[in-house]
Amino acid sequence: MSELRFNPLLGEWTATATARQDRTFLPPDNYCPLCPTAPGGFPTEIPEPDYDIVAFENKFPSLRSIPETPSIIGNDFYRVEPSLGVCEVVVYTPHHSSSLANESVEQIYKLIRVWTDRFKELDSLDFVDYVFIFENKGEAVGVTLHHPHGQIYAYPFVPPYILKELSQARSHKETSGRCLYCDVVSEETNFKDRVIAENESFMAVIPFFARYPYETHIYSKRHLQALTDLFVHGQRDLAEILKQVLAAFDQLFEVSFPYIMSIHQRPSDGAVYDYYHFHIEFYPPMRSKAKLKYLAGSEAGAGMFINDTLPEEKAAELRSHIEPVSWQPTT
Amino acid sequence: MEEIETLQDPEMHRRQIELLDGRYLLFYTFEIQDPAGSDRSLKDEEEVTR
Repeated sequence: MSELRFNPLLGEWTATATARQDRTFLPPDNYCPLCPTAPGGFPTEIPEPDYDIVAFENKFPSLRSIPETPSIIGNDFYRVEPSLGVCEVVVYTPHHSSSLANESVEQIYKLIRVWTDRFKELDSLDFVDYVFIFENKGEAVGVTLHHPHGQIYAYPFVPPYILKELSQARSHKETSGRCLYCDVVSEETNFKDRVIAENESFMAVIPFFARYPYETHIYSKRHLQALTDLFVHGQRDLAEILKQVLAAFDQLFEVSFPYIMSIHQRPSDGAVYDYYHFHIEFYPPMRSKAKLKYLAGSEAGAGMFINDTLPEEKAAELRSHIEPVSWQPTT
Repeated sequence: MEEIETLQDPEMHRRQIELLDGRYLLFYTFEIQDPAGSDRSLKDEEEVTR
C-alpha cells in the first residue's frame, strides 16, 4: 500500500510505502542484488555479467509512475493522493566493495553525465515537479544495501526543504537584486578559512551556518540552476572537486566516511527559477572518530540544529586532507 | 528481458531493457574523448543571470 498523505500542521506531504518494510536488508555479499549477475549464479537486479553504470526503477519504490490505489479515502481536511512519481536506483560501479570516493575521477565524471541524462528525462515528465538526486552512504545513515549506489526521487511536488531554499533565494533576490548563493560564494571566498577546495567552476566549503560538524557544500561559482546547465568543462571540474572532497572525508578518520549527499537543482514544474542556484550538500553524521551526530530533541522536535563544533576548525581539518586530482587511471 | 531502446551520443551510450517484472533498466557505456581531461578548451556557455 502506498499513498501521499497531507500533513495540515506542517503543510507537507508524507508518503506511506508499506512494501518497503519487506525490502532487502543488508544481504550477505554473495547475495547482493546490485552486483552483476554471474553466469549460472544468483540472479541479481542487473541481469548481465558486467556493467559500467546502470539506472533502473526501484523494486521497492515509494513513488510510482502508475501508482497504487490509496489505502484510505481522503477529504478536504485530510488530503490523500496516489503516490505518483518515479524512484530510480543508480549503480555507478560493479565493484561491491568500492565507494564513490574510491572510484576514479573519470568514473565520477561518467556518473555526472548519467545524473544529467536522468535529470533531463525525468524533468520532462508532466507529473514530475522536482527531481532529487542523492546518495545515502553507510549504515550510520540507514543504508540497506552496502553495494555503492545512489538514488533518484522524482516527486509530484516541490519538497519542503527545497521550497524553503527557494523562498529564501527569492526574498534575497527581491531585496538585494543578487543571487543568495552567489553571495554565499562571495562571503566564503572573502573569509577563506571555511573553504576546503576549489577550482575554476566550483567551491567546496563547510559554510558559516553548517548544522553538522562536517557538513560540506559544493557551490557552482557560476550562476547555474541545474546539471543540464553544465558543459564538459564544468562537468569535469565537478568530478574533480567531488573526488577531492570524498577522498578527504575518508582520510579524516581513516574510515569509509558515511554521508547523505543531496543534489539541489531547480524544480521541474515549468516555472522560472533564475534566482536559484545549483549546489550539492553533504550531511555526514560523524562528529568525531567514535561519535555520531544524532538528530535529537532540538533538531527533530523543534527544527533547530545544535552544532557541537566550529565550521572554521572543521574546515581546516578537512582541507588538510585535500589532495590534487589525477585523471590518469590507477594500475 | 527485452531490449526496447538504444540512444547514443558521441561519448555516452544508453541501452534500455525491460526487466521481467516490467521495470526499465538502463545500461550506460562510455567512449570518453580526451579521458585525461586535459582539453579545457570546451568552456561552458556564458551564464545567463547573476
